[in-house]
Amino acid sequence: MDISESFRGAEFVVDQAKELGADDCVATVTKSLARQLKFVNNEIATSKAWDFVNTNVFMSVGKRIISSTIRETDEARIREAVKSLLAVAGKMQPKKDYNGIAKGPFQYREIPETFDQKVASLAEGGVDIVSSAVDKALEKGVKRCSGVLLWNSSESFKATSGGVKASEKGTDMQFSLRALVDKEMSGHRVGLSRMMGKLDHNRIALEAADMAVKASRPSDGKVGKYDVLFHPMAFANLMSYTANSFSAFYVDSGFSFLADKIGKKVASDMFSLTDDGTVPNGYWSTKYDEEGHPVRPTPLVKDGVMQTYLHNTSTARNHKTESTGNAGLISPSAWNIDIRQGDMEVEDMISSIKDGLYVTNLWYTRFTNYRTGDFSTIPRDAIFRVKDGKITGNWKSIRISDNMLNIMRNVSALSRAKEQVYWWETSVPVTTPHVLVKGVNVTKPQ
Amino acid sequence: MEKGTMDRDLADSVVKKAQELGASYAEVRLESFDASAFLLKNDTPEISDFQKSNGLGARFLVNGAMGFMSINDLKKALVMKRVEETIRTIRASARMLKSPLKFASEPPAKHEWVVRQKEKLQDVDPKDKMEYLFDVRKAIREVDGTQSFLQLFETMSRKYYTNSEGSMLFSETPRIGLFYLLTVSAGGDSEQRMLEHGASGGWESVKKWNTIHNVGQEVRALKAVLEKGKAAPKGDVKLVLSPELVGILVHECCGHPTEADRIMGREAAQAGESFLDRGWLGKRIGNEAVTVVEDPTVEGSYGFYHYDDEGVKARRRFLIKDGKVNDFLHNRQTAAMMGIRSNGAARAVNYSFEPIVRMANTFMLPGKHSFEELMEGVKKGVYMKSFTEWNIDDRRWNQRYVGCESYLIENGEIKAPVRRPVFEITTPGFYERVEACGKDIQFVAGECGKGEPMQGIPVWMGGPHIRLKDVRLG
Repeated sequence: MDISESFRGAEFVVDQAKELGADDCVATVTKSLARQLKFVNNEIATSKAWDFVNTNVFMSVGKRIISSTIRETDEARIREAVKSLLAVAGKMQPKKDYNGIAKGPFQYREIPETFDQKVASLAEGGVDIVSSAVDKALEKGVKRCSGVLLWNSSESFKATSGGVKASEKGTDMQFSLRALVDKEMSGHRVGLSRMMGKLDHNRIALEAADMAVKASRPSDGKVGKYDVLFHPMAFANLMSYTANSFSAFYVDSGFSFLADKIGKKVASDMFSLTDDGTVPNGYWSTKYDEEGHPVRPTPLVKDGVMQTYLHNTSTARNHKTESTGNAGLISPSAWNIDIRQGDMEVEDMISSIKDGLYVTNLWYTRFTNYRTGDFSTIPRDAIFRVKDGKITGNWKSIRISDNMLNIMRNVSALSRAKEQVYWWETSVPVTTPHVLVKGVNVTKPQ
Repeated sequence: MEKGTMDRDLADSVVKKAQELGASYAEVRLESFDASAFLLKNDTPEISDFQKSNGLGARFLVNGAMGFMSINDLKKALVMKRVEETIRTIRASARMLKSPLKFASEPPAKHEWVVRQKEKLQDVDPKDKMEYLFDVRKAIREVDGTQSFLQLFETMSRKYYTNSEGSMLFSETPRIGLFYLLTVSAGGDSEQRMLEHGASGGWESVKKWNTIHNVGQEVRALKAVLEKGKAAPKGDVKLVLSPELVGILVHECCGHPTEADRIMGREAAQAGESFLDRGWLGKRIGNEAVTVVEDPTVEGSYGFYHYDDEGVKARRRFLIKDGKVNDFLHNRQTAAMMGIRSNGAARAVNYSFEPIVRMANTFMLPGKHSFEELMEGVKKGVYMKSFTEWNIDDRRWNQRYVGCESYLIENGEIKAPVRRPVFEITTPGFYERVEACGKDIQFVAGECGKGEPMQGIPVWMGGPHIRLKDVRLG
């Protein structure tokens, strides 16, 4: 048997695990073909391709948890591999708060716009996309463009001892372009899509170039409290770190500033945040989670009030609630974070700022203390100084040093338009409008 | 996949096939990469994870353009099909080139090495590895209510490297690491601390870290910081930094900005660029007491290797020498761009990543002073022994480090704890203020992030205790 042959391989692993004494087993076979064009200084620096088949298995026996990959392809060797893994698991101490996996089978709802054959078969056609986007940016007057175009096609098959037998295929595309006029004048934008026709690479290039050209002759910033308008690129960065803090695993580990906050006010009245793995064309949208539990929209903050943590079956039972369909077999995690939009135009938001900044990107966000939410982050690319409702210049070399709860509580306006962001510095897809936050603490180096 | 069972013929066939299809250069890494991890969250064992992976990573130069492919289903027909597709894409991408990419010349290398393990990791029972974490946890519990997340992790890489210039290298590298994150609470407030140790070698490395003793001292110290910690003194003070702080500083503001691929703009949209350029070579950036080296050849180090992933022999590089910018970290591509030879800094985490310019072990060289001598004569200052948060901008200029376990220094003596002193400084600002270096040296480990997709590569960083003048703390 070739284990890469979809269900048969996954089901065989689960059957063997059950027969050999496992209480729970999840086996997932994933086949993927990903391609990337990395471009640097207007040229393609490297074209890359990854062609992988992986079989991952999770098992519990007497609350002892083990996970592994299975590389064997014939039935006798698979059985031996499962047997030796269970023997190792049997030596470990039990995870006393482990409470099992989801019991299926489940009905799954198909999610529109998650697979496009045009993406799967793009091949060397990606060069035209990069070439076109770079040309557009150069026409706006920038000197250099760097970034990546990544596209991926995958198919996965899952079987569990909870009666799940499910499969899914998907495609995704990611385009990131940073345009530079010189070392200190830059703009950066990203675009994401599951469908070829919905990735507007030329618009991304033009917007990045526009930012770069406007970021002329930045001067050193000044320490103080400012009203900060966060571009979606910037606010998504902050919310991608916040996404982890919603995970029950992070809460239980002491890594979350949202511990003990359910039912409490954690943000401004106008701030609502939902995790939604079912959104059409969502970058991480999926029919089911790692246990095979159906994915659903989960409001996490509604009108400023904390609603729930993200759960898998085990953490949900420990918290006396239901799974939110966010397994992670150990740590529940978000699919697509969505910030509810407001009703303002960006220009009106800028006009409303008396003494502030328009920050278009963030970099290297780190927490002093995950439990309290104290953090700092570094604005990069264009940082516009705003005084009396007008952009008056550009800053550089500053740092935002504040607290994540303060940021959420001091949200004072949200734009009508929003966009999805995910890239090197934003590790969870976040769809967010422009967000205006009052009284943000800004520091600078000695 | 042991050395004897590696299908070297497959790797050699890929090189040959690529050349037949027009590649002017081809290299292949055939590798088995096994990784395991044990997690203990507070008093609860989470998961024991055992990952096994075999695969192939290859790079080709065609018409002056470069391509990379990786595949883990090693059926020859599938691999050759992927080689053909990769070369087609490289040809298509070559039309955007303004000048062909070149590699600096390098003689073919033939060598085999195995990192020695006194106590082989595979011979230590997984149960004993988890028991070790419970022993660490027991020490942490000396301060009631302390939460912790402990991870013991190990990897074994067995790698065959070959290229179209005749290089053939085989290596076997076991690595082990320990990461911990502590949350100490008192009076409704908390402080957090994280640290990583790492080594190339066997189980004997774990014993050298002395974690069970040290972590107990740390939680007691953090409790004191919470209960008695004062604000950092105002005005210009002397700042004494521990080897841990010196390590993160030289990693962030010497190792990264001297990566030549950043300097040439290759990481502009991801890990960023550098404030340095070729014009900085030979120019003063700090006090002459400062010498920072990068050295993959330190035996037992977490970043150890004999040859890099382009087949170039590893050696010590003096990045800052006597306060002047002296050298950059190069692979064969950046070396060719600057008209020199590579100094062996090309690394990939495993077969599924392209090799790029990376650090290995970055450290400031020790000076002549004892710790007591560094303290002598400090009327008012702060000793930062460990840190929590840190960050640096993407040109490696503007950075900040927040002290975790820190103390006031008065008249040469360590006094009360200081809570969260903030050292926010520019890169030359840091090196200019170094006035004395200790004669000790220590290292900590990290997984340095760079590349697209992100590669977290094992590194060491360290140095001696050092003293800085005229520092304003936040």
